[in-house]
Amino acid sequence: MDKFFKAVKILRPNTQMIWETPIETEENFNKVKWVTGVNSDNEAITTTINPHSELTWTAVKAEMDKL
Amino acid sequence: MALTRLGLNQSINLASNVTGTLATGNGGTGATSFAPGKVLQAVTSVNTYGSQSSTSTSYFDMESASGTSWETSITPSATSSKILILFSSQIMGTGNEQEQRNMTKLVQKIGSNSYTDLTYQKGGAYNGAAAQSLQPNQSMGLIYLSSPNTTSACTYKLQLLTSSSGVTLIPNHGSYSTCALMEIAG
Repeated sequence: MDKFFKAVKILRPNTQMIWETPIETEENFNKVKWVTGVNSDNEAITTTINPHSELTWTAVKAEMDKL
Repeated sequence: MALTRLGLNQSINLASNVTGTLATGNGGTGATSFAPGKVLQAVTSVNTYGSQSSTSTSYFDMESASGTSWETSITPSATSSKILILFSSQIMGTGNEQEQRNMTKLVQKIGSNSYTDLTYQKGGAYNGAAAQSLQPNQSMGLIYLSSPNTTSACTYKLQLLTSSSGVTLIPNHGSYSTCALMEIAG
């Protein structure tokens, strides 16, 4: 399974996001679309501004390196 | 008007020996109306982009390139026309869950209006014993006959979601999705 996915799940379970694989660089990490909510049509509301303080690139990369 | 009598096994060159307008049924052009049910135009699109992943439990767009929603459009020639929409999608869901239910939804946009739902299908997998690593590939065929009542561009796309954020959805994983749109005379 994707290391990025695993690392995020370890650091913050149930996080929802949309990304282009593989996430191996900070540049690609900064393109991840984080799901912050839903609209009235149950469509994901997303942002590329990371709203999760525990999911910095440094923390995610460190967790990925352990896998 | 001069008339020519043709004998047995004789022929006439319609292109050089006849003036006037041929009936459309005999190969003429310029028809302005068509019998209901006739296919007036067709549009196809193939999506091979397999680098998108998501854990979203709310709908997100299937992409055809990084950050680009996969949209296919057709512009009806008459408001009475219908649009036959044929989608075939390929998705893999991967996760260590007892259950994963993955939805594929077809939506339509007329002109610059917002998208509205047309139809959807559910796929996925369930392991009766306990959570375990599952990677079902699912093929969805979404078919819909729309009556958009417009001559503005009609645009279609697929949206996806998974029932669990512990599942990663990967569209077009080792395969691809296709779309065909046909304008049918009304």
